Order: sequence, then structure tokens, then C-alpha cells
Amino acid sequence: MKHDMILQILTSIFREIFDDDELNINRETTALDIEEWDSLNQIKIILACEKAFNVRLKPREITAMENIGDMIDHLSALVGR
Amino acid sequence: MLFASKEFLFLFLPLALLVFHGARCICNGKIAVNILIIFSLVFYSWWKLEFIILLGISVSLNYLFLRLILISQSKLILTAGLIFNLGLIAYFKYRNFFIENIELLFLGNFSIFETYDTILIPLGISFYTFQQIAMLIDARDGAIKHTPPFLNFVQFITFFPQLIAGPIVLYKELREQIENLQKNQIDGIQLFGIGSAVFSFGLFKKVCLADTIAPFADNAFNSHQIITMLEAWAGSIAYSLQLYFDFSGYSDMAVGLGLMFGLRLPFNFDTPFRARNMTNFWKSWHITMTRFFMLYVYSPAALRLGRFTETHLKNILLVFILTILAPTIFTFLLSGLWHGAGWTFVMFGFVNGLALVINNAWRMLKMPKLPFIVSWSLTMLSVLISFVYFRAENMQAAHNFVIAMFSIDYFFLPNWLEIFADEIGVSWKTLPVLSSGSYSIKFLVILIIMSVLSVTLPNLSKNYKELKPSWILASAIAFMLIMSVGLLDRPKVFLYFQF
Repeated sequence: MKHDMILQILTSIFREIFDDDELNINRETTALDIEEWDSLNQIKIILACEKAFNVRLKPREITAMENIGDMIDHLSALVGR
Repeated sequence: MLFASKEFLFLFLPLALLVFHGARCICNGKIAVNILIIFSLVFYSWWKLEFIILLGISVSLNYLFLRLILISQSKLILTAGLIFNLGLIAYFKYRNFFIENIELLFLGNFSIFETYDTILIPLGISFYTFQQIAMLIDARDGAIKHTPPFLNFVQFITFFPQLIAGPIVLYKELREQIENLQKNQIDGIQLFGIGSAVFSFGLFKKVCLADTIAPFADNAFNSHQIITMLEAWAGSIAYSLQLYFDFSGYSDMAVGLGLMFGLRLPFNFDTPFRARNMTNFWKSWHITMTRFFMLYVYSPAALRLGRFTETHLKNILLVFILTILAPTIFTFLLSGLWHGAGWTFVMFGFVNGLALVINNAWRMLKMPKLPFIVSWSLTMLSVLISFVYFRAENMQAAHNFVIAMFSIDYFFLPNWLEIFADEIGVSWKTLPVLSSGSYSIKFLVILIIMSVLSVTLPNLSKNYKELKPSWILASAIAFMLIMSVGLLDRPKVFLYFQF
């Protein structure tokens, strides 16, 4: 799956979870940029990604990532397998 | 040896710095790091020599577990490692608590183990055990790929600024730094200067702020049976401030000391009393402990429950209970118990967990955002109540205290306001804690100043990179050091050492 498409899907997931239709994310966005990003929303993000990309993520995987760019690369690798 | 003691400040620290940096300049980084390990072990054994044996066993066996996990990726070995670590902590910290409660549950008040010994809790066991648990799980996760050399592992666990009371550091945060230290690649004198500024700031918070307000908090909690409403509120605020300045001061000192020896430790506090909701509070209070519980307890539990509910449940209330309430309360009960073997600590965890659940339910139901002053007040109210349980000697004392805070029957004005009280028709009496006019006014002034400082003082252990040498900074550090050293002889103990 192309990175642009993954970013597009992630954007719609984030908009839904953070209840903000204007929210825009890019490769450089980090958890610190979104005030509401906490452990609960993190779990929601993992669950939504698992559903959208049909993959299985580990609970600590996303925390270890620096930014959305890392997340896109990781999802891309998982989907491509 | 406390950081805020003469033997540490005038003997141990100068000697450790001199020998460490001397070895770095004359010999090499590797020898300097090994010398640092020796100093850390001396620091640890200062309290009780026997503790070092337990630390040695814990570090050696965890290193073995780590090697085995990295070779085999076996879940069984990880489980064995976790059982070993949790068993160690259970035996030394919770044995008596478990026995007492099992007796109470099955035998009423009758005790068949009347003479079991009181075990002395080995210093820092909760902190170094958690750091090693995290490392084993990270190795199984694949986040740690190679076994570090044994001495790097020992340096990571025993580094004395963080050994006794955190911050709880993850291996990935220090791995490269320790390797660079061994190669003698550190910013040297620049990092040392910043470190000493951060350390002085922490020392000031502990010695001049926390220890100044401590007697007022102690006085209030020792008088829980006769305390009035005003005193209970003042006492709970005083204790919250004491705990904050004590532990954030300690954490600043740890970060400062780390920098003096060339290692950047993570910060633990980010002005928590500014938080407008419980989520923000726990993002800024004892950050590295919260991170541990979120990474290794909450996330796996919540993710499993989340997957289960997604496929099996549709009822919104059940989904809420299983995905939000259960993992949050479970995590906070455990984190409460981590602080100490007592029901008051469990209750401390429960109050915080419950407040967080309410916070999340509010968001989930898309309720309107409250004005800052309302949400901040509710957050601080939850925090204050939870700290009453944290501080009280037992559950009864905590209940007495909370009842005094909220029951109008306990509302009396202090005797020095009798004229004013008579005028507006409110009862007054001689209040035991706020006993005399001068005493209570002094208390009030300290309370107000410290409340303001708790939300305005900069977070140097977070923002030390912004520190630039200047005359103002130099004068501020000199002032803080002179004040702190002048007050060193007051009786003191670090609150977090008991955990």
C-alpha cells in the first residue's frame, strides 16, 4: 500500500478518535502535537489500525515510534507482507 | 546517604566527581564508568551493607534472564524472569501485608503468625526491579536486540542518582549514552555546569520548600481525630505541596546528578498542579512511573479487552466497563499498591483511577468542555482526596480527615477571628492545628507562597537545554545553594524512599 494512502486512512482514523474534522497529520506529527493523545486514545488508534489495515499490532509498538512517519513505515511493511 | 545531607554534598559527591572526571581525563571513559559503578555500590551500601547482596543477586539473575530471552525469544523464560522479580518484591515488600490480610479474611482477628518478623524493605527495590522487568519485556518484544556487556547493564541499573527513587529509566534511553560515556564522548564541562544548576534547584525545592511546609502537614495529619474543616483543607493542601516539592526536588537532583556524570535521565514532573483534567495530571506527575504502568500493565490489558469487545459485544455500557473502567481501575490499584503495602495506598490508586474513568466517560459522552476553573478545581479536588489516603497512617485516620474536609459540622473559625465570627454568626474555637494567631498567619503565608511557586517555578529537569550562563542564573543558584546549605541540619527524610 502506498504511503500516501496509509496517511489518508490514518488521518480519517485520527479525526474520528479525536473528534476533530479539521485535524491534519503528517509524517512529522508526534503524540505531543495532539493534546488529547493519551493511553486510552492510543489503544483506540491501535484497534482502529488493526481493523483498517487488517494487521495485528503489539501494545507497545506505537509508543516506541518517534512520529506518524514511523507508523506509516511500520504499517506499510506489515501490509506488504 | 541522602542527597540533601552533608556527607553526600561535602564528601561523597565531590570525591565521586573528582575521581570520575579525573579517570576520564587521565585514563579513559571505560575505566571512568567502572569507577562510577563502584561509587554507586558504595552509595547504595551506605544504608545497610546486606542490601547490596540482594541487589547483586537481582542484577546477576536478571542479566542471565535477559541473555536467555535474547537467545531464545522464549515466552517461558520471560515468565520465569517476571515471577522472579515479582516474587522478590512480593517477599520483601508485601509478605506481611498478604499474611495479615489472609489472616483477617479467613481467621477474623485471630493471628496464628503472631511472631512473624518485620522485614526491612530493601532500599529502592520497587524502582530497580521495575527497571529490570521493563528491560526483560522489551527484550522479548524485540525492542532490545543485543545483550549489553555485563558492566553496561550494571551501570544502567545501579547508576546512583536513579537507583533509590527513580526516575524509572528505560534501557533504550541510556544504552547509547553509556556507550558514549565509555568512549569518553560527552559534552564535559558544559553538561556539568547545567547539571549543577538543575541539582541546586532540586536541593532548594527539597530543603527550603518541602521541609519548610512538612511540619504543618504532619501536625494536621497527627490531629485527624480533632481536626476542623479549615485545618483539614489546609493540611491536605500542605501535604500535597510537600509531596510535590519533595519528590520533584529529588527528581531534579537525580537529573542534575546524571548530567554532572554525563548522562541525561528522563524528567519526572511537568508542573502537575496546572493540570486541567486527570489525564493531564497523570501525564505530568511521576511521569516515568505512569509510563511504566501504561506500557506494561494498562496497554496490554486494554488492548486484549478492546479486541474482545470489538468482536463480541455491542452493549455500550459493557464496552465502557471492559475497555475503559476495568483496565484503568486495575492499573491504578496496582500502582497504588506499588507505593506501599497498605490499604491506604490501594485507596489512593482507586480514587485516582475512578477520577480518570469519570474524566474519560465525560469525553466519551461528548459532554461540553468545562471552563478551566471548574475542571481544574475538580481535578485538584480528586488529587487532594487521593493524597489524604496516601499520607494517612491508616484507613480510619484517612476517613476522619476526609469527613472533616466535607462535613459542615466541622466548620469553625480559628479563635483569632472571633470578632469576625461573632459578627457573621459562625462558631469559633481554639483550633489545635491553627492554634495561635501568629502561627496560623505564618502557615497561611507559606501555603499561599508555595501554592503559587508550585505552578510557576520552571521545570529545569525538563528544560535544562534552554539554560544559558548568565549573572542572573549564577546569582539564583548561589542564593538557592546558600539557603539550602544553611537549612541542611533540619530533620528530614525523602518521602519516596519508603517505596
